[in-house]
Amino acid sequence: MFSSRSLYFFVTFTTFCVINPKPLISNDVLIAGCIKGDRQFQKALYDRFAPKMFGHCLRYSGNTDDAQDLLQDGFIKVFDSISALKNPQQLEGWMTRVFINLALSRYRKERSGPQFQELPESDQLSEEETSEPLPVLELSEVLACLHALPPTYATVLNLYAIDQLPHREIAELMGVSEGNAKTLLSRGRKMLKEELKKRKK
Amino acid sequence: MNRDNSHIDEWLKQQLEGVELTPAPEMWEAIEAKMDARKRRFPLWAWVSAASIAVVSLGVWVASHSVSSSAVSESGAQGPALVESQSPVIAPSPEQSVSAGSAEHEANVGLYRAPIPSTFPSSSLASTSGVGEVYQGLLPPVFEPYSKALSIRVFRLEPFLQNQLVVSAPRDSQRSDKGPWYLEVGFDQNQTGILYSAVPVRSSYIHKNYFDRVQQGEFSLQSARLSFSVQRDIQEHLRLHAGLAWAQNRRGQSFDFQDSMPASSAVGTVADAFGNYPIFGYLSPGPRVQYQGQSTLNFLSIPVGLSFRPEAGRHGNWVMDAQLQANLISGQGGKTLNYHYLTLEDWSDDAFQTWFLSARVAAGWERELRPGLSWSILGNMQGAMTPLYQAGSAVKAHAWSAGLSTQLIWSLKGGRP
Repeated sequence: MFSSRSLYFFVTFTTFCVINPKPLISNDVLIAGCIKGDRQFQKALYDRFAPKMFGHCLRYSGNTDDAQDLLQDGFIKVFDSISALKNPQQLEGWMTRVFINLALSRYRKERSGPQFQELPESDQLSEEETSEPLPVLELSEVLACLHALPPTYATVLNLYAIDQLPHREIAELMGVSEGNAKTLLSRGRKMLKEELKKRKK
Repeated sequence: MNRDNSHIDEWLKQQLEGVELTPAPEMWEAIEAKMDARKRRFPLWAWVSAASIAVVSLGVWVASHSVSSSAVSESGAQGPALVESQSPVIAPSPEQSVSAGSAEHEANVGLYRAPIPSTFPSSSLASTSGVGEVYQGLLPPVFEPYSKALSIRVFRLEPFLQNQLVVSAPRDSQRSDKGPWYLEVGFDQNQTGILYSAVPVRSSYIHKNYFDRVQQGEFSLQSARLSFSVQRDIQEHLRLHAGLAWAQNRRGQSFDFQDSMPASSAVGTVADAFGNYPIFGYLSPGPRVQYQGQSTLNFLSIPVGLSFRPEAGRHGNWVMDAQLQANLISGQGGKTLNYHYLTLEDWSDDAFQTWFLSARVAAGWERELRPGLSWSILGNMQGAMTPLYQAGSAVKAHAWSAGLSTQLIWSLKGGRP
């Protein structure tokens, strides 16, 4: 009744399904479904990327409530503009960028003037301390240290140290000069170290 | 120092890079709820479509006026031809009795788009001297150009910049679903452009030597405007604004002319809103009119509008704005020219619509110069939607102007307004 080839495919497929109870939907298929506005595909995209994006949101937001707001708005923005994504292989990177841009956009709206006062470019703080071992902390403690900094410095540290953006791009995103961005970074590092010292004690 | 820097950077990266945290299960429901709520709102495409329809309708309306006026112009260009009238009987109005001499003679030489009946009862007209001289071409040369083709300018391009300073004070709505409120104070020039034009079908109510000017716009008003508005983001890129604006135009007036007197008839025709009947001929020049003075016009306006501001790069956004404006007009101390008799009259608010509607569409680009300070450039077009003169008048405001405006926008709280 069944040819040996059919049997072979049936066994292989069944085995694959048993090993992978949730077969991975490719990015192309996910994106195509989201472009159509299919809620199931949107949910699948959310399920796949929400933990990572929530991590980004927590880094850029001062508290969990703000991070949750950002997560919601970020996914809505992703669903709205996913048709603009050219290369499906870059989905995660593109989504990360959408979330970072949204976080910065929110931040620009909320910030008040003085935080962005031009700093003298020569104000590169001296950091005389030698490299000393830094503590291993719980994630919540690391986030608490980062968010203890003024938002401007925390944002610059996020952009430079974790997201690895160059100074020029950070300067553009923050609306300051490149020299100023470096100064903000330098001060941010110093503040973070001081915060870590406080925690050690 | 660099080693130490990379040390802390590396530490931070190790601690936070690739961090994954599962959000609360109700997060997805919250996202779905937000998306559903957004769907229920009047969608963005509907706003954009409505605005596009409004702009296209406006364009069609303007274009149709342009065509009908041009048609009148062509008939006017045929020179002083007799136009047969359908009116069987015509008689002079008591206060406008004139002498016409020979009706045929008048038609060949002097009449200008005036409906003259074949049964014109010349004997019923009072006799005055000088009519023959007028009709035999003794009018001063200044009248000659009016026999040539008429043209109309519906749009008036104002090739100057309108500079606007806007002080914007955003009031944060504390993370509500809706966006923040903004207060805006602006000062700009030339936002009020008024051109008069003739209603083509009533052109015979207007003195022939005035008709060209009325067709092309008797004059335009350009005035400084002070405005105040409250704005609110109703969707991510959509802002609703409403406010109050005040504009004042002061202009020197200088009249020095002498022109022919019109001959009007009453029976079988209808007077316009000012009681003037169609002109069927012209008599000898009337008295010389000399006047020098100043007129002041005030416009109190209530603008309501929508702006669509999608992002254009990191520090800029496109701006598309459409607004409807209710205007209260009032004048002081000036004279106005009677379009029928070419006599000077005191400005009277009664002659004009108390309220008239105008619309303005603008599109351009806005760039954030630094936090809290933005600059924009907008191409704009504005015009009256309803007549400035009373309904039934032979002339009406055909107020159109197009221009380019720049704005410097300062946000009191920082951030992009």
